[in-house]
Amino acid sequence: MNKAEPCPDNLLLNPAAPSTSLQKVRQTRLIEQLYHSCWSSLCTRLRKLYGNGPPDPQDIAQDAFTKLSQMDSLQHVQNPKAFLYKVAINLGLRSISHVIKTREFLAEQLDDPDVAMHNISPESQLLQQQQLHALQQAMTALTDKQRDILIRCRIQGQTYANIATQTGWSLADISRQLNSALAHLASSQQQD
Amino acid sequence: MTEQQKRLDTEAREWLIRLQEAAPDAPLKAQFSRWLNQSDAHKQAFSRIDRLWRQLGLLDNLEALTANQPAAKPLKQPGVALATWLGMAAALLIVVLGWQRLPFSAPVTVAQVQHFATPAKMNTTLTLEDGSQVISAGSARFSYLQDTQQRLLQMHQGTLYFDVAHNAELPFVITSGGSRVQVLGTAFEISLTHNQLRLSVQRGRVEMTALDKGKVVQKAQLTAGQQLVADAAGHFLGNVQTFDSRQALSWLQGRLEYDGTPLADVVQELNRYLSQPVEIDADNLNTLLITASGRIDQAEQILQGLLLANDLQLEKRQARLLIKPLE
Repeated sequence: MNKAEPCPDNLLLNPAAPSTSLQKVRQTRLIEQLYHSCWSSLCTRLRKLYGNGPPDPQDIAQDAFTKLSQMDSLQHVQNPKAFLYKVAINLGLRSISHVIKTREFLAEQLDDPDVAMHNISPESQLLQQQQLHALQQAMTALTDKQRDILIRCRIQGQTYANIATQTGWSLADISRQLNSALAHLASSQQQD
Repeated sequence: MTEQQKRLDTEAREWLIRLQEAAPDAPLKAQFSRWLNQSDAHKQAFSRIDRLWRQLGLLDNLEALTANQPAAKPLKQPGVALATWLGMAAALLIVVLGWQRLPFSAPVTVAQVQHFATPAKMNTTLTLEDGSQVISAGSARFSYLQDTQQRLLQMHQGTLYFDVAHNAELPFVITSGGSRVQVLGTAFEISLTHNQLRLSVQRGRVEMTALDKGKVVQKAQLTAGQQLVADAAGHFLGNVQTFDSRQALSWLQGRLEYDGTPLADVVQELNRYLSQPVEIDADNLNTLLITASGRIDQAEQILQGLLLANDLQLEKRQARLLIKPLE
């Protein structure tokens, strides 16, 4: 892969682009730029979070870029690099069978297909912007331990037994910490 | 928010946490379904917390949030049945006579075996659910089970230092290499090789007993700074010896220190931190006395230094690295 350049944080496309074709060209250029600057670091991060696979971290990263390129417009995305990581991380989670099984069960119970899989799009991001911002703020008030458990469970898809094995924390403690963390995050949403 | 809403939110949160533990089985699914379908309010409460859960995967700072997470490790080890634990032959019994009071947490009510595998080339500190600390020197594997009567740890491989939380009502039992070690609360190291178990006591008084079919055949008392070696069957090898705990346990401080230490012991310890383990090619080199020191992340340099200082060399033979005299 090409030598890594600094990943662009703010490659905001011009929302006032004069034509769809020009917009498409800019979008393609943006994806290319992201590819050259973030490919290596993204693969490294995916390998760290989900191991060597299968699926191979490079395959997940490739899927993420493909997904980005298929999106109608990235014009609402203020931080393309962050968006890329979100798409890739959620694709990584889809390779974890217990996460998929739980999501499918909940989608059926709640009768809502969106519950099964996270279909990330710039539009849905925009709709939830305020809540996501409040959630991000609330995350900073969690203890390191709560944040660690939350990320391991929600982002890395680790089971509590895996977390216990890797950290030495008891299963009961993990559940307690997770409960406290979610209670705090939920209160941030209600205040919002 | 009404009291009922608060109660439902709490229940919904607890359900979400239960369902994330692993793929839910049929009874849990049925139980959840019954709870969820009690009313629309139940469904709304769960939908709220589940939406929040899903939104956590949409945060803009996921890259920063995951930057310091430890690397994913495959941990697929076979389970250990309770009967296996209880059926193990007690070849060696160590009873602690004195200990220091240490904090401990209440025992959990549901017994579950946890498997631990620590990485090579570094020390790893783990805190068990009873508050006991276990530190591994490089790669080690063990399983732990805590029930209402005792704390059981099965050691499969490596060197572990234990700082056992005192709990007179919940003995801490370690099985390893055919030996059984029982403690109430103290600090000691157990080093396991293919044919030996070495117990080194750092704190407290320990009575060590070798049993054969339930009868005491050997007994020794160890105090802080004393060490005893047993073979795989639990028979003592030699008498209780004194040892320099500062030097022998220097790995706990991230250092390796040898002062007139036999090469065999040095190699055994260095191998915990080397990229590729080394072996001694000639038996007469085992007792060669070595003086060297360095940080554990400098294990390769310590090896190179001691080879140079003692006219030794490394020879690669197929996939093995052998220490032999310089030709």
